[in-house]
Amino acid sequence: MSFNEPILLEIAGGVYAVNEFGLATVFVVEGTQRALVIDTGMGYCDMRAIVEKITAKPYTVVLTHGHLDHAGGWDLFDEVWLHPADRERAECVTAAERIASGQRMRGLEGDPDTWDYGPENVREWKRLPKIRDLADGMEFDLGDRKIICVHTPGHSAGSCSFIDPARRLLFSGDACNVSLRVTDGGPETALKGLMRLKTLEGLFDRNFNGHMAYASGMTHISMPQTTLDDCIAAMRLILDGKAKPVTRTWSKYSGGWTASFIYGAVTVTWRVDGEEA
Amino acid sequence: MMAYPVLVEIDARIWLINDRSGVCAYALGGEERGLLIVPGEAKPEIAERLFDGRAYDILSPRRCPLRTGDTIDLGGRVIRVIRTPALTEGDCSFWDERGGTVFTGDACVPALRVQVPVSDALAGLSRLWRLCPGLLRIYPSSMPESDYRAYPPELLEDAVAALRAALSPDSGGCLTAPGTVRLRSVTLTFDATRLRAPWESPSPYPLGI
Repeated sequence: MSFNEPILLEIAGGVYAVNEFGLATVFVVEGTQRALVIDTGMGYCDMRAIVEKITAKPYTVVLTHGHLDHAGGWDLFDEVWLHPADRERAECVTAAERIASGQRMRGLEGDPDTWDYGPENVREWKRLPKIRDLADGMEFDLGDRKIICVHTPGHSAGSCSFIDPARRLLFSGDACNVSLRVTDGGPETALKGLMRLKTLEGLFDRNFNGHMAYASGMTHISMPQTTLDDCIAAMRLILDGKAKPVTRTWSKYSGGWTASFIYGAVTVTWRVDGEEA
Repeated sequence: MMAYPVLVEIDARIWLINDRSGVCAYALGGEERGLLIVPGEAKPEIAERLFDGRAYDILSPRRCPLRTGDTIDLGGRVIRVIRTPALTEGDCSFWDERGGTVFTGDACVPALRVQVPVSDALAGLSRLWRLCPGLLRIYPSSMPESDYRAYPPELLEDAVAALRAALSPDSGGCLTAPGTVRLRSVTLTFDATRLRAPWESPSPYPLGI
């Protein structure tokens, strides 16, 4: 039997997650006065209805970055906050890309029949939300606590992470991940963002990326404890030319040659333009 | 059929495991050991992975041998046992005060079935209410397949009220059929011939908290 609707979870008191067919995770952080919605999924469901089923409070929508699996459902919301460096990328996402991505992810990590979804789930955007600019250091007041925005470029130029100090949670999107793809700016840029997170690591104990239970996996858990340190160490090894062993692959997704290597809990992939196979 | 169970991290070092049979197990990790609360078949493979090789106990919320007040110290997290008879006299709930979470087995669920005397079930849930100050989240053994959000404390309030209504000669219209009470978030089914234990003297007054 397949799941034919997103799975709703609670990862801490008043902090919820929505697993959208294994394609992406949306978080709803509920405070005493307001809620914060982190990401909007890939547009395979009515995410707004799901958010409003989870919380009756007024809410603000923020995006960790502008990729299709995080901005894909933004058309249903009136307003979203996004770092300006990712705005153009998000606005250019098409329904065809989202359909192709969903097809590619089906069956990864397990049984292809885990989820029941198809191209018919994908919505053409009839409008865009009002887009407001996210910036490093911004805080979103939920009444009983403030959620902190941290600019963590690397996976994308506008990637941002969010910290809930009360529940001691980090929502890192795809910026601090066991599968870290550095597509904008290179390892040096990514290292700066990761070091910024490192200075704030006293505020969080658990790191949730933007893809809990990726694809057909049903394991909805936080990143391993060493993820941030492993990502930092991996960037340093790459920059020092000491990363090994390295595999090189032509990536249509990344638009060129990429190199990958594994360090600790993380697999890092980064662009290596100009290099031959 | 899926190859894997659904695993959900519901708090720091607490996981829900749904093997898709409709019954959920819970794994609670401490600094020194773990506790697996499993109403049915034990899941040793998953526990090994979740508990990082630490020793762990396995307890069932059904026919549990422990008593109210017994504690299980996991190291940095103490779990308290509270007897909450519902399907059996041995049903127990497990209270994690640190997280404000109680794991109630079959004793506090929206579709509440009581096979013990109703007065015993009411005494158990009243006891739970009294011994869990700061209750924030309720996790029973059965959860909807696509929704693993905790139930709020209001579920316990409604369950207590429904049990009281079952015992009350004037249930205020909640008694929809013999042995059935619908009250807000709870539908209670019970044996109308087993309102009280045989040794209890009949009383026109419902038990209070």
